[in-house]
Amino acid sequence: MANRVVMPKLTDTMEEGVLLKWYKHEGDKVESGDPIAEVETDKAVMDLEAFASGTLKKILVPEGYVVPSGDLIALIAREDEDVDEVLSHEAKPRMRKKELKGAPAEREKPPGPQAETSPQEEAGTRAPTPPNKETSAKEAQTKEAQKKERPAAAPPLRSEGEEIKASPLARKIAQERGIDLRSVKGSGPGGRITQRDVEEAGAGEGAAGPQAATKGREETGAGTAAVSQIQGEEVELSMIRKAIAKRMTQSKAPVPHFYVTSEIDMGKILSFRDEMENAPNGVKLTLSELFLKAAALTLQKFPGYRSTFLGDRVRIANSIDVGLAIGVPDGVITAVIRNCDHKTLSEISADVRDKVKRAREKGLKPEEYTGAIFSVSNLGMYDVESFSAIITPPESGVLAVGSILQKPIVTDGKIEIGRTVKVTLSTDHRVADGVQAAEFLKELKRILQNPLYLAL
Amino acid sequence: MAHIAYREALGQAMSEEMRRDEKVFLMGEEVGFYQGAFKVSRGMLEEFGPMRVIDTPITEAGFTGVGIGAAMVGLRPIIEMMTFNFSILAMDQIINNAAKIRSMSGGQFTVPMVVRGPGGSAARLAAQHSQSLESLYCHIAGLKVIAPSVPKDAKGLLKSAIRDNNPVICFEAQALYGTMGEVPEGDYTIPIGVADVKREGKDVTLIAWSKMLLLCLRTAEELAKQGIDAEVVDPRTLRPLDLETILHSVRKTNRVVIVEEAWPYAGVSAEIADRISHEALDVLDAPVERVTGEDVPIPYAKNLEQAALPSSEKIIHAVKKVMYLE
Repeated sequence: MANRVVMPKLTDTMEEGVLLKWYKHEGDKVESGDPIAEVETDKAVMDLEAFASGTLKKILVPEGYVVPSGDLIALIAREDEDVDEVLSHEAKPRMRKKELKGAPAEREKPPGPQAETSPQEEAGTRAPTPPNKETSAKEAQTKEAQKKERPAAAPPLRSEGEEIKASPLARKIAQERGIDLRSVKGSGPGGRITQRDVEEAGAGEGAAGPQAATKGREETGAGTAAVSQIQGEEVELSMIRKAIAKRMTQSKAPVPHFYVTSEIDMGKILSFRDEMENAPNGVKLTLSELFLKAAALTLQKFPGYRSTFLGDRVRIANSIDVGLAIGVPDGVITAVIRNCDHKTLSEISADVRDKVKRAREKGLKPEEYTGAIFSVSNLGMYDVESFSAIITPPESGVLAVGSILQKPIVTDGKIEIGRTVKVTLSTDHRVADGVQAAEFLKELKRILQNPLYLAL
Repeated sequence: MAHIAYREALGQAMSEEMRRDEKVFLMGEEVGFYQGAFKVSRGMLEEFGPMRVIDTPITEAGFTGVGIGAAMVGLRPIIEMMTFNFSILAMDQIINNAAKIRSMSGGQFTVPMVVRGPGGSAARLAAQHSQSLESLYCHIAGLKVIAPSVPKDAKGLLKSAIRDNNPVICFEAQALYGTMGEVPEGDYTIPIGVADVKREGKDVTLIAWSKMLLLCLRTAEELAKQGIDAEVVDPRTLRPLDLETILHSVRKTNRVVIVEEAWPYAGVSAEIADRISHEALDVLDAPVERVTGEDVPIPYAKNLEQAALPSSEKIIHAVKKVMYLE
């Protein structure tokens, strides 16, 4: 009698697993207890053991495919047994290929046999390119009107189990962007959540402040435009990363933040700045400019902080375009310094000065305040010890810089008066964790405390 | 390109096919001496003679049956219904014989026949003469159904229909006969089963055929003034249906309104809506809306007739509904 081998469900949270490697081939003899395949779950990579002895007659799932727990992946039977009859009664595994190659559109129809999947699964597992629609003038007006009617605060979460009315497209976009539909207010009939509702919810939580965020949406066509501006390679999320993304989003939608603070000794860099300023042909640098360059150099080493979360994948940006939050009379706007890691300090300084001036005159073009992958927000000039900034989607982090304060510093057993600053890194927990945040700050600190790196 | 009327394009298609293939002939009430009740066969009796342009008595079941018999023995008849309302009299021949003989004879007989003529409402022809009966024929396995909306499509599709080895029903909206359009020079065909995007847009897909297509194009201009960019898709053939072109548009716009002149119940638009909901559910932002004729016999009185038919206002309302603008 043929024995079924299925994708195991190893934990309560495991919904699917990746078939990484087959140790045995079709026709190989297997003993009960033999490891026959390597499987990646949401927690670990582990061996799948045979529960029966016999011949591995049929492998239904090739290596590199993702399969839901419980789906048949192979059959073990007697060597002379015909398993076609058994297979004719079995559902085909609902598998899809794990690797991403090329444009998302190509992934809509993965190779290999497929069974039907529900629209939710379909949307969650093989998200096609999000529709990138320009907002018509009329639509924009209506949106504006609706926005005015709507309360400013985020609507309360629906309770667990409450039915969510949403259009299939809205569900799909929400899944792609990791937006919890329970947190979205529906404007359609009977409270149905529509594409527009989800896009507004996705673009809602921005560090640039409500005015700037609203302006950005109107001119760039919502969050999709912001994501599509960032060019880069896409890498599918690991199982554990998917699980974290889902869980964190449920806890704080739509961007689950966490904050890590560190104190940096600024003695050397302040002397460095003075030297730069006083040198022949010297340049006057602001702390924001120094932090931009230091953050850009740090970002080179941390792909997690130049990632955009796309539901089941992240897009890792090719170029390090860092935003600087600039206070303007009626709000905040984030000016983007392109290729910040490759610019010299004087180039950054010139760029920043130009953009700050124009930002205050409201003269920045949309492409100059959208498309950053990370931001720096400096309130040092306002005498704050430290603060935490809110991430502007689709960025995955923001560095908040406090004031430089005089502090006692212990050097070689002696107390000296030193100057330090507290910086706080806000992180999108869907793409990075505490350890990475700590390491990011450590690297940032290393650069700022050894300012020669900035001049390299 | 020549700028000619819809009726002239159909006449050209028939005349050119009759010149090309001597097995093609035209039969129907007043197609010969009177040159067609709607002047579609103008000049044809003179050119081809009474053996190939045949005036029949008022006997729809009879001459349709004769056409089927002629087709079975190798001729290629074009049967003109003076209006499709009269084709109801020949329904038994069309449904029980034309559609089925190929299958029931195990392929020993084919029925290369075209049944064509005007349908739909015009100006106050009252309930019995204003009907859009496409769905009756689309329902029948074994029939192909085409419904061209512009002269170019009318000529190209009718030629394909005449050359097809199976029975094809060709709906010509009565109100379209006088409409003008560019028609390419020389011999050309438009394949049965290929839709056409008549207007590109990005906000909503309007699907319509025949006379309703023109209404949708006018309405799309109206919508454009309101900032709504509608795409207008003309299936051109209702069976087989080019679902791919429709789905391509739906994936682009995420919203669909189908406009059909006929009654709402079990209409062609219901079939298209069902196919879209199966194949493209997860890209829809709103349920597919249908704008159809009202569920009543078409009234005679002008104001009531207008009220019973699809209108720009009704289409705009449906578009705003799928876009959640009202």
